[in-house]
Amino acid sequence: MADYQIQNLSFRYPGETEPALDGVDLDVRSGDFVLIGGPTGSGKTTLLRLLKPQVQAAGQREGTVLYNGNRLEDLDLRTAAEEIGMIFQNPDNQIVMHTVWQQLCFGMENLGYPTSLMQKRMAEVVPFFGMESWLHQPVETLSGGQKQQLNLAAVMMLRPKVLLLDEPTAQLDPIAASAFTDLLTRINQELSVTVILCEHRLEALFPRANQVLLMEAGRIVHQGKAETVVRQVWEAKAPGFAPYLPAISRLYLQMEADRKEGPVPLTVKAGKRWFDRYWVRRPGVFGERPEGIRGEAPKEEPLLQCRDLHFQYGKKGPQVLQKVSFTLHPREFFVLLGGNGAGKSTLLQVLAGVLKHQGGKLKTRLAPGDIGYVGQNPLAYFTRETVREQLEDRAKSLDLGDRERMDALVRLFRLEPVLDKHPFDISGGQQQQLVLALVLLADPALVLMDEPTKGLDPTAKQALAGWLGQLLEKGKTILMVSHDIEFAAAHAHRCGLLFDGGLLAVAEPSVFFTENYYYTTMVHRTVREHLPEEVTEEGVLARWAITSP
Amino acid sequence: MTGGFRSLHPLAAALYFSGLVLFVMWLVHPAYLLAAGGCLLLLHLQLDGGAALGKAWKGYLAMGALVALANPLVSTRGATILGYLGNRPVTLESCVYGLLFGLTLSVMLLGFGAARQVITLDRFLYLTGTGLPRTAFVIVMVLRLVPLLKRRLREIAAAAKTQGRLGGGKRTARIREAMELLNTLVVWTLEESLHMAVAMRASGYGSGPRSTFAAYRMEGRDKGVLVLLGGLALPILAGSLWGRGQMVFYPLLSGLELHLPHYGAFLFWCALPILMNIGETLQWQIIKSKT
Amino acid sequence: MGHYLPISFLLVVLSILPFYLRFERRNMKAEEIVLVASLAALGAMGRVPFAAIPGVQPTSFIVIMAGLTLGAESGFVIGSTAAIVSNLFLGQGPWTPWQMLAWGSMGLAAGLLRRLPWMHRPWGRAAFGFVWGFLYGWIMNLWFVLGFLHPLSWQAFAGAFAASAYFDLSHALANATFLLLFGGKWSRILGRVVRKFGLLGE
Repeated sequence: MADYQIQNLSFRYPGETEPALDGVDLDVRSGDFVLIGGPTGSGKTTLLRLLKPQVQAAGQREGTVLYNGNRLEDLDLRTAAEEIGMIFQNPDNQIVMHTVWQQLCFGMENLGYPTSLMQKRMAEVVPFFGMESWLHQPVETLSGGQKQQLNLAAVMMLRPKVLLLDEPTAQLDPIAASAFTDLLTRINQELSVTVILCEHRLEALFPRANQVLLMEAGRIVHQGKAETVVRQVWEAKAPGFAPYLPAISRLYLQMEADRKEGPVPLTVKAGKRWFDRYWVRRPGVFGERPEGIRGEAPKEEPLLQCRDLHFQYGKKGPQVLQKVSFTLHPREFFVLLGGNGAGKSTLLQVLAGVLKHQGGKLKTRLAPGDIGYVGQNPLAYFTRETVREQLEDRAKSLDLGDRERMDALVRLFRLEPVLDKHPFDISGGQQQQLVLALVLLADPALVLMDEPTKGLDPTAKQALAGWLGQLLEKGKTILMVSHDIEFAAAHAHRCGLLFDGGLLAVAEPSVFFTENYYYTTMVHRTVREHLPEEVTEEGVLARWAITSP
Repeated sequence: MTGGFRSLHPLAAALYFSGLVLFVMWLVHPAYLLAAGGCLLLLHLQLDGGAALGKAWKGYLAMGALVALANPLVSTRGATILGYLGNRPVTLESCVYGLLFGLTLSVMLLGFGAARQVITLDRFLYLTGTGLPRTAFVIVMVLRLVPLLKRRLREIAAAAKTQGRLGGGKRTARIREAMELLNTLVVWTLEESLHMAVAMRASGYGSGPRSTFAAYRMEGRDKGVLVLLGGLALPILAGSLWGRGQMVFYPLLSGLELHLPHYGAFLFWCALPILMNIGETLQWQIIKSKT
Repeated sequence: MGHYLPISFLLVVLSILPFYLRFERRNMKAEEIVLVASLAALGAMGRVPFAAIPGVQPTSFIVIMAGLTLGAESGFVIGSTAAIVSNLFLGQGPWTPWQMLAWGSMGLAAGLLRRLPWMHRPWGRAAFGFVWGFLYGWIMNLWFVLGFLHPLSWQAFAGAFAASAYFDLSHALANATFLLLFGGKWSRILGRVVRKFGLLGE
């Protein structure tokens, strides 16, 4: 049994005036799958951490948390360690041991299990997770998805009754993320382990959860079954949460605005069933494709051209890039997609001049200073003790006489309130904005970005899209490496797919994604039989709006 | 070959190599050193066909040669003067002392090289963990962190390079830039280590006494080898305390008397791994011929 | 009695052991363990050559700063663990225990002297690092001189010290430079973490 009864729970961090949690009530029953969504700073993590004694933050707490009817404070640490498992966002921070099997044993060793028991548990858990072939590898050789899977397996070694997960897939690529979610669903279904999960990417999770909470400013704003919450959000007309809904649900709610009852489709399967019927029910409701929804990629003299680029790490290392050829035009937004280890980041670093290609030609009319590089991890950029010093130091090294450009960037990225904070003490989104500001201080013509949407909540993603739009208007060119199909479909001029070291397909999103069967957006998979050119919600609505009254 | 000496319980292997290194350090006598050196060379061949040795032998030899040369240079003791270097006498005794201690060092290094292959990382950690569990745990953490830190440092260097830093230039400027990278790395790493500590507590660290996974079980053969090693160590140690297998260098070289039973025990110690490996191979041959 | 080789070896091992035995018995929070491991990893990495920082081996600097902030006992453990782990990459040998002793004592000394006001001034720290550049080299000479040279004369010691003087001097200068330029900054960085973790350093 693993029940939580949370009554009127409030929490305030030391030195803060606003509470991080404000009067939260929640009942979790054994075997529930609870999904918690909400923007960064809405109190999701704080709530989750109050459910496990070992990880509670210091601060002022009010209200009660009952675990199986008893106060959580009275639960002894050992039981809490065994019964309540926790997974965090960054897979690397949870792995303290050198090899996979050592990490699997870590929790059991902490609780003093004898070797024979550890062996039995390993023999059970390792095949369940299919980890046999990498059991003896050092963790450093694993991919991010494997690392997070290892963390889940290590927690399962203790046979927990509850799993608390704090954005466990935020740092993973979509394939690894869905593999992780599948495992989680299996654990919930087959072992009846209670799951309480915080996430930004809710689309894939809505159908699996039997309780959904949306939080804002420390309060639960919407609560209930997934479909109820989807309707609530839509009817509340709160624009803040609309981006959290599955695109298919949003399409349904807009096109069936007069249907106040009935199930809202949450998955491609349900969405397609609905759309097929809608197509029959309302023949001729979709018009022709309007011209120029998004500005066409400008055709000018290329900014950068590469032909047959080749790169490998060391003489014996794998050939990461083989014969990569493409052209980048000025003022275009190019998104490079591809799976893990396809060489996306490597290609970006070659273009940025961090790595030197070993074969092929790279032609560009840009000086090295004209190319800005935004790496995957903002923390790699911080050398000073305040945001202000960091910006000023960069301005100084660029010999920028006046502060005009810096002030403009600070305003653009809304960094005024955090200027005197330590760069490590601001939120992940703000850290990324600071890095963007640092890179843009040099006024580069080309900005290279490595997975900038990773770990961002939908609101922050929209803000990022807005800034990138402004950069394009100012005449900059953007080349982005990403896993984020939806983001690329919605904003890119052109997309390319890197696979096995080569660049396979380069096309505009409407062509690029319509040619793909699996590697495409949810919306396209839903409507492709009837509207084969459409890949985004906006695209479908644009054609629908033409003829609808 | 994965069986044989390699598969011995780590405790027995550790005892074997500690004993070997101790005896080699103690018994500086050409017959003993040559026996140990010869056996270790054979062991290297058995372990990996001499691959590790192929890379390292120059270093082993060079360090031995350094000792051999250094002694006559700093020591003027000894009765038999071979010649003069400047106005310092070079004696036969100091040359022999140097040669033999050079040989000792080379043989010790050979022993460390073989031990490194037999006592693999997992076995080393097991050994440390049986006596010093927290130390072994910290070593494992360090082993996990080093590649992670290297990866972070590469990211930091990439960020710096694309911002026009790390441009080269004077050595002092380069060092300053390198240290800036290290500053970022340490702030980043310490920040993340806070999260790591929370995750450790979440998996139960600190909720009671820890246990350590013991991947190795002492089997009959291991116990037999332990008893054998004990039975050999006693006479070797006793004989050594008695002065067996040790030369006198100054003022005059002693003879090379050999006390055969003592030498035999030592020789058996040195040859034990080779014999075990040969036995293992024979056993396989017999099994194969039967099928 | 012939020579000191086995005796000196045993003595060194016996002098390191008590620090680890105490480390095993000390009551330590998870945060403290992670901090010790992180600093030892930084120190170990400082020895393994990597392309980003050519010709810079900041291990001693890291060990000294660790001792200064976390105290003598942790300083010793961080220094000697950095030595043993880096040798897992670079190759263990008879020098390992000596190296553990040398870097361990460096951290230990920094921790013992950390209450003195001059250790918190740039020049004081630089002087400490300079001296320890040489002390480190001399400890490492000991294993060679005690073990392999005979008779032990002042010439033997002088010869070994003269032979290593160039390396020791550059080590000492590097330590002094690092401590002079970055000691203050690292002291703030480590101090911030120690406060944030609620550790007082013993």
